[in-house]
Amino acid sequence: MEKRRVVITGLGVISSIGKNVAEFWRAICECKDGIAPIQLVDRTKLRFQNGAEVKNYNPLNYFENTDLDLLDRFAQFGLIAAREAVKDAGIEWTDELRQRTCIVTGTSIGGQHSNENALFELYGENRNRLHPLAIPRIMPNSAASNISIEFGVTGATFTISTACASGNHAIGNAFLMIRSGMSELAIAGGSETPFSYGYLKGWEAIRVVAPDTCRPFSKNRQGMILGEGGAMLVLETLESAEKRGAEIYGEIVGFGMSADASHITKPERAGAERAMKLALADAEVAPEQIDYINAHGTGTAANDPMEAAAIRGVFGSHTDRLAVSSTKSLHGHALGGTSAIEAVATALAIKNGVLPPTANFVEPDSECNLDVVPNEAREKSIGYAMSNAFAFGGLNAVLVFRCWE
Amino acid sequence: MSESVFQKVSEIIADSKNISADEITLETTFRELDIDSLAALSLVYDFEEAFNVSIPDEEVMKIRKVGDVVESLDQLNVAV
Repeated sequence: MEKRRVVITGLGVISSIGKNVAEFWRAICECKDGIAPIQLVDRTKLRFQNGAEVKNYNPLNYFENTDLDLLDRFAQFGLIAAREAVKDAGIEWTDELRQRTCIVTGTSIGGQHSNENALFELYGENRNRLHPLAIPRIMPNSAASNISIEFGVTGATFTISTACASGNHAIGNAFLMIRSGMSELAIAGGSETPFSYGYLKGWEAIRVVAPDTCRPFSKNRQGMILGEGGAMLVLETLESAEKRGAEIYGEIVGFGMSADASHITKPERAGAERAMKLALADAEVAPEQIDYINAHGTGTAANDPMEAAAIRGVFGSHTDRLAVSSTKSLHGHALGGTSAIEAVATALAIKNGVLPPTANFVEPDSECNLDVVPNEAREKSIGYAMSNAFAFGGLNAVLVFRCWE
Repeated sequence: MSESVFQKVSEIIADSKNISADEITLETTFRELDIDSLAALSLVYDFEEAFNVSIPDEEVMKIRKVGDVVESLDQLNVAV
């Protein structure tokens, strides 16, 4: 089957470091993280205090009151990112294009805020009825569905939930659909809003959240920092992008997926390596051609040495010439949305020839012997880049991007 | 049919649709007010909250016009 080329022509993001692409990219270039004391939940009841929340967010700046009845915060973020990406791409909709467009979104937990509020009414307040919109607000596909309604998209629309790899799985599957000819255009990405009390208590219990900040690959790292946000990409065939004279951020050339099939939370090097190798093979790119990796880089004890070893396993001596950074140190770990946010960062990195930094880096760790672009963005032309996502549950998804000259 | 129940029901609908309660009669249909099935369920929730009752499914399914709502609530002997 002919492999059609797939390019990125639109980006949208809302995150702790910016409520649009321009703000987001400026924060990355200036290495300003979005990590601060949690405001959305009473943090006096939590063991960890910091998170990467979207600050000064007023939903009424984006939605009518009546629309908000239907939209959990995670769906709002998905829609906001999709609107920016579609506008950025300059899509001119026709009925035919709407039928040939797919929407693939990722989320780990969907409408958790609405779910917790509803359950609190039942169990906490002993009420005996729930609002009829509780179900449409909670459902994890509500971001995808509301995006389809907003743009009148009638093509394949679905949601993927693979914990912290959801965004990459969503973008990768949209990429495959365009490459194979199933779709002409895609809106793909993810969104997540984990700052609700019950969910944070779950993270507290699993003891992987840092008490201070996110320091990926740094020797004194103490864990991850939860983040919220959403990011969407518009993907289309090279042919259609060129035909309509669209600005191209970069090309997606490879996608690899694997499962560790080992431990439910402890990541396995072999699974990560296999996903990276499959992505390279799919891209028909040699390891030596990769210049930059946007790492999964959670800042946890378990992930970072595993990922460093897996990268060395795949790239061998070329590892010493690779730049590997974790932008989670800036925007936090937005779970099912995070790899979509990182895909936006990676697309902007190759477009602008700038390596995003790893923020909050203090001290090298011999177990993470990588050039992590510490604390300062660096100008460098990037031919090919990779973006890793290795989720709880041992589910891995890796994308390969190519610079568009 | 209870006038006070009708008044309260009209106010709830008017508030939700951002219209004047004077525009609503017992014969006004939900369709005329552009209230779809999901929006109707949201209104039923509001009626249940306001009158502190539970309207049975079979009654809810019969609602086509404002008078149907008032009739259902009257059957439940709601107090205003």
